[in-house]
Amino acid sequence: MAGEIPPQSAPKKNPKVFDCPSCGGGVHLRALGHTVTVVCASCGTLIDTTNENHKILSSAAQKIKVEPLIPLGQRGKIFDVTWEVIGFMQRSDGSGQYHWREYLLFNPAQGFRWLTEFDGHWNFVVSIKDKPTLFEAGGSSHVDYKGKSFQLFLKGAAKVNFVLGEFYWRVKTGERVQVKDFIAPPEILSYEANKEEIIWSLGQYVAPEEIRTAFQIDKAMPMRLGVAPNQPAAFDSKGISISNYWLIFVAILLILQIFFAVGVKNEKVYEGAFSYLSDDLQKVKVTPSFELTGGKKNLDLKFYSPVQNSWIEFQVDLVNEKTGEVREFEKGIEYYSGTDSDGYWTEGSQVSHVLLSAVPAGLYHLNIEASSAKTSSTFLYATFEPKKLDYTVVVTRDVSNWSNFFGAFLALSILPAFAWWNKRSFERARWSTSDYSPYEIEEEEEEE
Amino acid sequence: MKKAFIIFGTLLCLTFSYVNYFGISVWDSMKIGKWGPGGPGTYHK
Repeated sequence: MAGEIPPQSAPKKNPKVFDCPSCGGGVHLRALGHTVTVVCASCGTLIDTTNENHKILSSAAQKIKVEPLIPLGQRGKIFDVTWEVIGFMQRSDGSGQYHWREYLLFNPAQGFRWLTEFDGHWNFVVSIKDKPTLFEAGGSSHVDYKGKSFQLFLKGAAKVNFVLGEFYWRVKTGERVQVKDFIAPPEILSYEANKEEIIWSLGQYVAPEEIRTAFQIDKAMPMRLGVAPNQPAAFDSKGISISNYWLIFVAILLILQIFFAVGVKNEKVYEGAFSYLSDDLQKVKVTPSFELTGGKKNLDLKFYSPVQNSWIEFQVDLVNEKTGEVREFEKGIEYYSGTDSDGYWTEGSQVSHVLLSAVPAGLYHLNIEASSAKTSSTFLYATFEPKKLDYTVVVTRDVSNWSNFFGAFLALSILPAFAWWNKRSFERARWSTSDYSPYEIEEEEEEE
Repeated sequence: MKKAFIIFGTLLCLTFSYVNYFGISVWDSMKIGKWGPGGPGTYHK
């Protein structure tokens, strides 16, 4: 219900004061020339200011009395403009269950604005002249305004419960309008209609701290409850979002990964075949020396053994012949197969790999000690013959490796995933008070 | 928050380039012990 007025010259510092025709108390007029009605702060009488004699429109005492948090006449700077509070009203929804407060602000050059407060959430509201485009389909609807889409959040009625100060229309308690709220956080578009007119207004969410600072409020601010319809989410920010940055970084990682994967030499430096005998006296097999070149690069060791319903395990040392440095590791191969009621099955593999990272250049050899079951056996009957298993080892220098990429991808995704989950929880909380929540449809689908 | 993520992402990409250039596999390094003179292995040759 905010209005636009033509700019005036300098703001009037001293309001006009006249005596209330009902109680004789002083009545202030701060928006002289614009005010149509004023409510006496002393007795609640509604006075017509367009009438020279200040005709009484209503002298009935208001049923409730509400003390505005920001007193009438208080000035404060919002969005770099100084506003003066000239009117106050409390309104409620059709059921009378929910109440909110509206402060009428005035600046002689800018006109009127509204500051609304509900459950500790504040909005700075201006009425708009150009009508938004309304789209209605099925149960949902939205409006487009200045290229932005606003989703329907609320439909209902609003009733005036209490008024104080001056207004630019003939306000009265009990006055009802039909309202619809459409949201595109941090903005809200409100539609108000009665028999005479339709008014659209655009609200901008303002943090309570800003209101407190602007109007020098020294009382306790109303506690913020829940999430306001147009409250911006904590992770929302202007410009490129975290998810967009996440995409950029994933693309960079992928390009780097492809670059490194294409650039690997994949050089086979050793291949050898051995046999494991359970009664072999020489347990450790030593490979011939092999040369690793090209600084620090990774080393892939591939083990193959044609095991069948059996296993073989290797205790391996990679020995640098110059420095005597040793890197030891264990690797096993196991492979089982059979047939059951579901058909043929297999488990395990006859091949396994070990990737050693950042192996410096130098002359190396492997010490391999294999172990397996002591005897050849079947599932049911053990045969007491010494077991023999062949195996091969292939050593490849500088191979492509994706584990770093997937690790980096996961590390990079933690914060965006948390932000996404947080925003989703926030949005669910926002829409929990609406009859038009998109999340309710989702929940119904999940239940089905 | 966004600034912190940009810094983290940039450092991650730089670290990723470093470990890949030197053939370091972070995951495999965690599974297998480090080099050490006179470590648990034996020089058999």
